[in-house]
Amino acid sequence: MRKISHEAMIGYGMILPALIYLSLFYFYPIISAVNLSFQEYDISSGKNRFIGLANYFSIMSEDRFFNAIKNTFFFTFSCTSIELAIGMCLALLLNRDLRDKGLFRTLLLTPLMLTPVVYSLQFRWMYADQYGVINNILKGLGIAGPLWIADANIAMYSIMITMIWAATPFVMIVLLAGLQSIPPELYEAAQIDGASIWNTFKNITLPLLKPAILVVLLIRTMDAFKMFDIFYILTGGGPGFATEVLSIYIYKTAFSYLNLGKASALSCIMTLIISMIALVYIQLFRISSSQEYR
Amino acid sequence: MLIIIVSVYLFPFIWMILSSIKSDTEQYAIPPVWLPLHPTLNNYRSLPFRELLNSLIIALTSTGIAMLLGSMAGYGFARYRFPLRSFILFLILMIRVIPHISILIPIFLLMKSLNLLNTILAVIMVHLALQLPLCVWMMRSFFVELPRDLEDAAKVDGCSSLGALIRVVLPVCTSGLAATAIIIFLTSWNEFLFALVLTYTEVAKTMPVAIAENVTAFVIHWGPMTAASVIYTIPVMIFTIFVQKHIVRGLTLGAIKG
Repeated sequence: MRKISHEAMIGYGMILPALIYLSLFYFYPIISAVNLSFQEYDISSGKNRFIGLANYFSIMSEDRFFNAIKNTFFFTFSCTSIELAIGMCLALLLNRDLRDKGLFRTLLLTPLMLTPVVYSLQFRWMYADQYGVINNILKGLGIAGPLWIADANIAMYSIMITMIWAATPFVMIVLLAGLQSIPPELYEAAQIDGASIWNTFKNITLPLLKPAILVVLLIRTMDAFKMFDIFYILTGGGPGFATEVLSIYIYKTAFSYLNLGKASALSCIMTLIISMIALVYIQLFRISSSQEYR
Repeated sequence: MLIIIVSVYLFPFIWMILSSIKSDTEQYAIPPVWLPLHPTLNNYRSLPFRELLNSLIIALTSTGIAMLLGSMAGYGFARYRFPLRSFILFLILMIRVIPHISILIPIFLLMKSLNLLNTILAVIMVHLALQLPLCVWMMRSFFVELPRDLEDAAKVDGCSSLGALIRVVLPVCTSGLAATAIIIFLTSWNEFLFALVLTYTEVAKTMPVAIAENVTAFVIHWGPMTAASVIYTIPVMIFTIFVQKHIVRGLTLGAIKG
């Protein structure tokens, strides 16, 4: 039997409370969710019946599930790419030596402080078709404003605008910090060598920003994939199923249709998908780190 | 140029503040009233004070406990070597991958069986679980950055390990503690899904849920909603303007090298 060193004992001791608590609230629920996914759970009587993979089979054969997947993927990857692009531009803008740089940065941080429920409601207020502020501005310009939330073709884009508005500051902050850690001598050397702006960006800025970009991509992708609050408040998944993403679908299955078994199966599938995406990103991160030459 | 961008960005927020002081006639006016001619504080009369208090208690309590457990764990990961250390750390990091929806149902059933539905305690417990992984990760990063000399000097002077942690490391780490505490506090302050599912009367309801309830099946009470939102947001905003340096530091930790 291996002797545990004194140092290890203290180490374990320090992490133990947090670890126990986390196991209780993550480990147990996950096992329980997997278990529930194989059952048919009747919440009124509290009885459950083991039905094996029936929940999963029923999910795989529904259009609604694949619609939710499609919506979730579209939302996640579109939002993340746009956030990255805009965040990068903002970070580059703010990176120059400006007088009030701190002030702008503070102001742009605002959406980060807001509760998602609060800003979603605010956007819903602005998106209202008759007395909402956006359509009224458009009307003043002579354009007929669309039904931002009620139109099935546009609703998803309206939600995306809200998400992008809310998340871009985070991207900007991280990228700005990354930009500021690039030694200016590299830029000076490039300038001496006569490199164009685009070339400088492509060969100096981007490679050195890679760790920051990957971290931002990972966090934003996962957070967008899991997003619930914005969808719940703005459209509730509607109109029809136009904006129903996985999280909304699971919520409805559990609390409107009271089908806890199927909801658990859905959430297991969702967890699996996110884990795979995260692992892919982590692999990309590892590959890019090992390719760096200094 | 930047001014334009910032104004566009802050527009929803400004519009929210303006809406909160408009009377109903000005609120729904077409064309919209920009600056209310007859500002009123009417909307602020029906503020859900109980829910505001609930949110405060929940956020403060869970943040406090999380900082305690999380800092200790973070220190353990940073300074001590033990078998499976990286693996356990990786697991904690991977917790973030789990969508809240996935653990929502089991936790709901758990609270139901413990008879803790609609209690502040249940929400505190859940928020604590949501905050811990982030807290452990951030505190560990801060501790790792610290040179060991401080603690070694303290131990030479006769401090125990725990003593060194409390007397020497923590005081030096205040900005790291502040950054982590703020971000964790906001995590609880802004949390919606679990609060929505676990509470149903104002005994335990939180502000985000109460604010969302202004959306009824028939009409949306924009006035009270924006007023509640303003009250919920402004104090946090003012506070964070003062500490934004810490927040930025906390957010960018680990994203850049050096």
